[in-house]
Amino acid sequence: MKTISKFLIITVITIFAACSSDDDIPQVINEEETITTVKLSVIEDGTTNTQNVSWIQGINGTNNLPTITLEQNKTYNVRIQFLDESNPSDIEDITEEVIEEKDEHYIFYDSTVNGLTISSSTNDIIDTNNIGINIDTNWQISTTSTGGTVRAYLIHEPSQKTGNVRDDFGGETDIEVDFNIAIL
Amino acid sequence: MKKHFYLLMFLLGSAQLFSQDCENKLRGRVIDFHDGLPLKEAQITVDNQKVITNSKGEFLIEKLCPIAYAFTITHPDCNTQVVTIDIGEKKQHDFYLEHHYTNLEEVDILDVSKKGETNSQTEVQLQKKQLEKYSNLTLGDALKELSGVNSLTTGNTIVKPVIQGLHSSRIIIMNNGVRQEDQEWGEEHAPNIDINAFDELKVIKGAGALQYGGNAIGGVVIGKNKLTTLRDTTFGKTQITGSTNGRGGSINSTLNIGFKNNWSTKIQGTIKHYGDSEAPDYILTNTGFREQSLSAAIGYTTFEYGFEGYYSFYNAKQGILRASHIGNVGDLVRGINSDEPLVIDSFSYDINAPKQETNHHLGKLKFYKRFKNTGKLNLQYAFQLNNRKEFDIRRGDDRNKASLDLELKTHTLDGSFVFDSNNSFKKTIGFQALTQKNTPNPETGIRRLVPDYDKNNIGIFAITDFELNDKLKADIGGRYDYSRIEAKKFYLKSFWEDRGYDTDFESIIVADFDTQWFTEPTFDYHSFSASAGINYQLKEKQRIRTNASFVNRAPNPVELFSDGLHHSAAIIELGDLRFEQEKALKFSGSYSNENFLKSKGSFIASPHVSIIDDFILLQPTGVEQTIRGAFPVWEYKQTRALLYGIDIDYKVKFTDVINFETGFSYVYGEDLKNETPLISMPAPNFRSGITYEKPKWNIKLTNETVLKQTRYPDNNFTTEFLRDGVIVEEVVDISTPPPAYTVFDVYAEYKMSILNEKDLSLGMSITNILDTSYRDYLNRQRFYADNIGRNITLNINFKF
Repeated sequence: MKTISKFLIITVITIFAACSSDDDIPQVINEEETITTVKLSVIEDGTTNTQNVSWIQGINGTNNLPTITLEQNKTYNVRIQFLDESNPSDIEDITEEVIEEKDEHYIFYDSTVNGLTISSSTNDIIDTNNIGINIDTNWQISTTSTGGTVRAYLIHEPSQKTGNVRDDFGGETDIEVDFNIAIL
Repeated sequence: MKKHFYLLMFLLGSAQLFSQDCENKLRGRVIDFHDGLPLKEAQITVDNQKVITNSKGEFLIEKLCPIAYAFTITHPDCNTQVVTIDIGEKKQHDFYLEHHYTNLEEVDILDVSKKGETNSQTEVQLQKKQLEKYSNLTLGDALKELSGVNSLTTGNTIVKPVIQGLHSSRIIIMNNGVRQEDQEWGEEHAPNIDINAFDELKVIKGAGALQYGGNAIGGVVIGKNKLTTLRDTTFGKTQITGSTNGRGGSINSTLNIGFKNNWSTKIQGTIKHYGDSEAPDYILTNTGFREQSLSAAIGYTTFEYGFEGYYSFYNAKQGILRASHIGNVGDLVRGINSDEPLVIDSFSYDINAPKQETNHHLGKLKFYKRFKNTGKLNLQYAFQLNNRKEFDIRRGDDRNKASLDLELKTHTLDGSFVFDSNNSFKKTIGFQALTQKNTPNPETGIRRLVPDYDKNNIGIFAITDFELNDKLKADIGGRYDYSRIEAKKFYLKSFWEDRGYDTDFESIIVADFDTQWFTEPTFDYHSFSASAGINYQLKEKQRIRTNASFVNRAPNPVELFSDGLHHSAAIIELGDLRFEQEKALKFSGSYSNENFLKSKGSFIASPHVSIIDDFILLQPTGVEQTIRGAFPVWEYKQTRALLYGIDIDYKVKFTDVINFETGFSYVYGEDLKNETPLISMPAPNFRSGITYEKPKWNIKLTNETVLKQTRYPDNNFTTEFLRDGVIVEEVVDISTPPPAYTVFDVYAEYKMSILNEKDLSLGMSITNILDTSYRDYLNRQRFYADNIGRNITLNINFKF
């Protein structure tokens, strides 16, 4: 019996001693999938007049929306980009991943702006079901349009890619940001 | 036992030397060798006398000469034993009987509640026979059968026990003598335990079982597994089940061997395999479940000393309802507003993200030795290795990577000495030492929810039970624990400042990593716990137990360290390094009457009250604008909580073949500081069953009725939606509990004799017979889907 209890005690002491803590610093994790910035490049159709407007995590919010200035009766080409700028010296373009997985993504714009029509542009990314996923869009402003808000959604694994309101698409919302639209 | 026998044989030879005075008496008890419970109606034959034991297993044999007699002890459930006793030497003897193997689980135990883990606390248990019905389910499902125990679920496969309103870090689960360490703090973390590894499950509905820990504010769940004490025998069983809901089944086998020389061994294994479950109206996509587990033990057992080695392994994969994976508050609202889950695919056995993969290894070495006229020494070393991986829906190269990957290694050393030579004054002293290391895998690419930490704990306790008189037994106990946690945590600098840590915790910063601080927070907790109670026999078959306990619980890792988005709940959860320990005072009691309403039934009422200072809970405190939209922010806060309630059980035998039982439990929880009800308190619930039982077959119809929880905190919030070209504010109702429901189940069993008496049983159960659509307040997926619908399970159980 004594040998057994001795054996037990020695085993335990050895194990306890073997797992005393070390002082290493664990590996730091900088999350790579995070999108910190949604950037819209707005080019007036047929010109090179460009506005770059960004919604930046930590800066923008309900009371501080980025503003895009548009003119009545004009059309704009709008390209959306999703960026990870959490490390300013290493900015990552998440848009590339979205494009790579185009079948599982869809960008939907909803708005309160009357007289604004948004449609997939001819140089948009087309998925395998022949649906433009709205990376590149045309924004048409009517002559009666007044300002408002445009809400951009990046939807992951939407249940379908057709519809008029956010509820029609299902899926998970990866991005939901608002832009202020001023009409001249 | 053998030793005693030789001794008796020796005494036998010397017996004739004494003079003949045949007025001697022998008194004693007949006791179940396996669990020490008294056996009633055992027959003792000696010479021409025949004596039957009374309801306490006691007997008295008179008119014996002071010579050696051969006593033959028989009991319908046990192997007959012949024991020789010299009446010249002995006036008192307890006989120990062993069961027939086929009846191992079916011994008529006259009063199970008399032999408890504690003297004064309310204890309830499930025996082997009841557990077998749940072999294809989980620990949490089985425990629900006990009044006062509910379950907190995530879908139908992740089931956590809730004892009188409390769960997770506030309860202790003892896995075959070892405190289970498996990231139990998480509401979506089910115990990594296979129910088939146990012969018995017990719940102590009190805080004062100090031998297990000083922090069981809610109570203790004890799973037990015993090696056979039978000699020269091999027995076991194989159980196979098949279910319509989930279109899968389980197989579970146990083999017990008792060798001649006091060695015994046991090996047991389980495999479960299920696809998507189904609610009455739709498939619950991605709710499949897999489990493989194994346990093996070998031991040497004598009355005087023994040792045991035990190993168990549990491996499970659980799918989480696809529709419950949401990106933001808008998705949550769409989920709440839709009658059906937003993702319904056709039936599949596939388990995709979101899912959990967990495994748990437990190895232990146990040793005991009895010291004559002193007591029993127990020593136990255990090692546990737990790995938990949680998978979210991710994109790109990270698609198949876990979002959470934690490895928890725990070593424990327990020792106790039970001074039990004086039955009316029993003392137990002991210690528990623990060293634990948590290592989150950085390969997830997601900032650690729980940091790397080392935890060391030492606890010492002393408990004493003493008989004040025949009817009154008191107990008092104390425990001290010292616990030290040394963590290694990265904090985002923005969060660090928001929380005001830059002024309070400047000293723990070790290194600067650009946007993050690397810190080494250290926590020391000293806690004193105490428990006292009485167990009073009011009348024959009426008993009162009362217990008061004071215990402490140190904050768990999420309460201290949470600093971000909790995806499945669409809330931002914030912990606080400044938390104190929870301090709980719990009064529990029970009144049991086995003679209720003129011996027509047995009745137990167990009221309880707890006041918990610095009770940690999550409260909504604001809204944070993120790139995913606005999220409600919930912060862990400390408050003062009051919980009280009652569990009532009533059982009655209407006729020889018809039994009826019913249980009710109610819990009231209030946050006294904010004057609001506590969240997630079980709604008042009833559980009733009627059994028709014949020797060869039985059928039981049960009903579970859960009322609507009317006491809940209003955590609703408003959020902006863009609808029909207009931005509108809408209230998001995440607070209102679902309506009441009632569900009927039936279970039927037919026993046959193939090789041995009643060795094959065929069972069939139908749960949710009426295919009722309902949602449960304690199911975290209640926003997205109904609970599972009708399930027909066939069950074949062969004993050998």
